[in-house]
Amino acid sequence: MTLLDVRDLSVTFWSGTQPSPVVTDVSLSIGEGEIVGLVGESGSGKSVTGLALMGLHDPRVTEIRGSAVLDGRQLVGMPERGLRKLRGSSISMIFQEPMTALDPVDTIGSQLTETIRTHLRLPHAAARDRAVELLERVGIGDAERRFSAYPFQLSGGMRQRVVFALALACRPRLVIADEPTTAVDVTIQAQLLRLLTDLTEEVGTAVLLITHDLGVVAEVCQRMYTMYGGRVVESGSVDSVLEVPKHPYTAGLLGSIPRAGGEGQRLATIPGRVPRPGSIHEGCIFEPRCAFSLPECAVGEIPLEPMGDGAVRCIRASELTLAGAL
Amino acid sequence: MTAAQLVSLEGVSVSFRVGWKRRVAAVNEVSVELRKGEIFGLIGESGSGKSTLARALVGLVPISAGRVSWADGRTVTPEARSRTTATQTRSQMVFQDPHSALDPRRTILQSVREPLDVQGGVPHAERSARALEKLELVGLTAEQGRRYPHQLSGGQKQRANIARALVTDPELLICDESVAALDVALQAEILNLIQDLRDRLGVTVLFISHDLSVVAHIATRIGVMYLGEVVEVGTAAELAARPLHPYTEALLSAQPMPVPSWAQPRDRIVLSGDIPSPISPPSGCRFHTRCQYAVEGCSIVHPERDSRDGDRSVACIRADELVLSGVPVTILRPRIEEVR
Repeated sequence: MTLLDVRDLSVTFWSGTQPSPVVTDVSLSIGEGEIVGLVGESGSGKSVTGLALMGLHDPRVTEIRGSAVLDGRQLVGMPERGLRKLRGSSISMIFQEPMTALDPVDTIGSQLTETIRTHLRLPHAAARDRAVELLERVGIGDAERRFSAYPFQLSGGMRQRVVFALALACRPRLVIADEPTTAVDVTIQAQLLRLLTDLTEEVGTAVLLITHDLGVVAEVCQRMYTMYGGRVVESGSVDSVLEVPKHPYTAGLLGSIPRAGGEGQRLATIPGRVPRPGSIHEGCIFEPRCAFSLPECAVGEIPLEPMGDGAVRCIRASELTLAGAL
Repeated sequence: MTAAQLVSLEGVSVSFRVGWKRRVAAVNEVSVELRKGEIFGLIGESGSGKSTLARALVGLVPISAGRVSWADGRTVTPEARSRTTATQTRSQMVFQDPHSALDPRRTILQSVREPLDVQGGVPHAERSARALEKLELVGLTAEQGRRYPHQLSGGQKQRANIARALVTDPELLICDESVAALDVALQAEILNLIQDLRDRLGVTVLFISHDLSVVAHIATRIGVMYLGEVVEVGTAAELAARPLHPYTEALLSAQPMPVPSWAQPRDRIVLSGDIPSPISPPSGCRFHTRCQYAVEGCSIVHPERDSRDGDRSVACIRADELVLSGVPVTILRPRIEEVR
C-alpha cells in the first residue's frame, strides 16, 4: 500500500522577481511502514523536498507545484489550518540538531505533554503518563525524574531520543527524518538507528530518511532515491543501487567514501562542484562533472527512465558499467 | 627517543579546574609517540580527550603531568611550559569548521600570510611570495587568494586553512576533525590533498576524527582514545582487521557500511549509554561500564597498555583471551578504480 505518493513536486524560491527552482519534478513514493532514503550532497534539494512535504516553506516566497498525496489527502496547497492538524499526528519531522529542535526554556516533559494533548485530546494526567512511557520507550533511564529536565541537562544522544519521542508521540503515519544522526557520535548513531527502526516497526510508521551518508542508508533503508541539482537522478532498492549503481553520480558518491583498508590509496573524487541551487542548466545537470558525458548529454531534458527495480536519469545508463560498493 | 620519532609523550595528563577545588583529567597519563612522516590517526567519541591531547601538544593548554619531548631536544613539562615561537611554528593546526577559521574581513592571501606576519623577520614581499606558494601547493590560484572567505566554497576554504597551517613549514600538521564538516565528495578531495602533502613535504600529520572509516583510510597508525586514555595503538590495517580492545571493536562495529544487505556485518555491537563523565571516571578499566566482555577484575585493575606483536599495544586485562572481530574482509577490500 502506498502511503505517500509524490508526483512532479517542484519548489521554486522567489527573491524579488527572480525565480530560483530548487526542486524540479521530484516523484517518489513510500509504502506503509517502509523506510526510504533520500540521498544527496548539500544543496541537492533533499531537505527542501522534506520541508515542502511538511508545508514548512514560507508561502510568500515559495512556489510549490505538483502533488503529494498522503493517505488520500493532498498536501500541496493545503491551507495552514489543515496542515497544523496533520503535523505531529499524521506526519512529523526529526531534525538534525536536537538542541535547536527542542525548546530550551521548557522541560522535555512539558514539551511532550503539549504535543500529546494538542493532538490526542487527553486529560493532563493521562498525557503525562503517556509522556513518561514514551521517554522510557526511547531509552531514557529514570524517566520520571528526567521528565522535568531541561534540554541543556541532557547529552546530545539523549536529546535526540527526546526528539524521536516527540516525533512519534502521536503515532504518525510518516516521519521525515532530516539527517537525524549526523550530529552525534558513531556509537550513539548506532543506538539511534536501532531505536528508529524498532520504533517505526512497532508503530507502523513509514520514514523518509534524508541523509548524505550512504552507510546509514544501507543500514536502515529498503529503497533509496539519489538527488542531484534538485532532481531525482536514480532510484531503486538499496541493495541493487549499491551493488550496481546506474547513475555516474551515485557511483561517484560511493567511490568517494573512505573505508578501512584503503591505506595510501587515493579516493575517487567527483571533479567540479555541486551546481548552485536554482541554477538552470540545459541537458543533464550532472553533465559538467560527469566522466562519461557525451555531446548528447548537454541537450534537451533527460528523462527519468525505469530500469531494473528503480529508475535512472541518464541516457547512457544501459551501456555503462559502473563500480558498485564491493 | 629514537631517530624516527618526531615527538613523544610520556605519561602526559591535562587537567582543568571544575568549580571549587575539583579537577577533571581530560587527558590521563597518555604515552604515545609520533613518527616522522607518518599520519597518526586519533579516534574516539566526543569527550574522549582527542582535541585536548592535540592542544597540549602544540602548547595551547598546559600539561599537568608527564613530559613532551621533541626530536630536536625541546621538552615541555608542567614546570616549563614552552611557549616559544619554535613550538608554535613547528606544529600547526587545521580546524573543523572551514568557515569560522578564516577572518571574514581579510582576503585569503592575508589570512594565509598572517602566521609569517606574526613570526616576523622576513620582508613583506617574501612573506607574500611564500603564502602564494603554499596556496598553489594546496590547489588554489593567486586569483582565489585575492578573494574573501565568503567568495569561496567550503572545500576551497578548507584548502586555504591547510595552506595557512603550512606557511611556516611546520614539522607537525594537526588536523582536528578537518573533514567532518564537508560533504563526502569534498571530503575525499581534502583527504587526498592531506595524503599528497604528506608524500611531498614529508610533514607528520596528527589526524583527529570521530569517523573511523576516514581515519582507517588515511592513517598509517591509529590510536584509540576513551575517556582521556589511549586504549589501543596499532597500524591502520591491523587495527581495522583485528582489533584487540573491546572499545575498538565496538567503534568498528558501529560504523555504518555502504554495502548491500548481504555484505552487512551481522551481530552489530551497540554500546549502551553515553561516555561517562571524566569528572568521576569509572574505577579500574574506564571502559568496563560499557564493555560486554567485562569481568569482575575489570572494575578493580586499571590496565596498563602493553606492547604486542606487530607494532601494537593494548590496555585490556583480557586482551590475550578475547577474539574480537574487525571489519569483514569483503568490505576491507581497497578501492582502486577512479571515477575519472
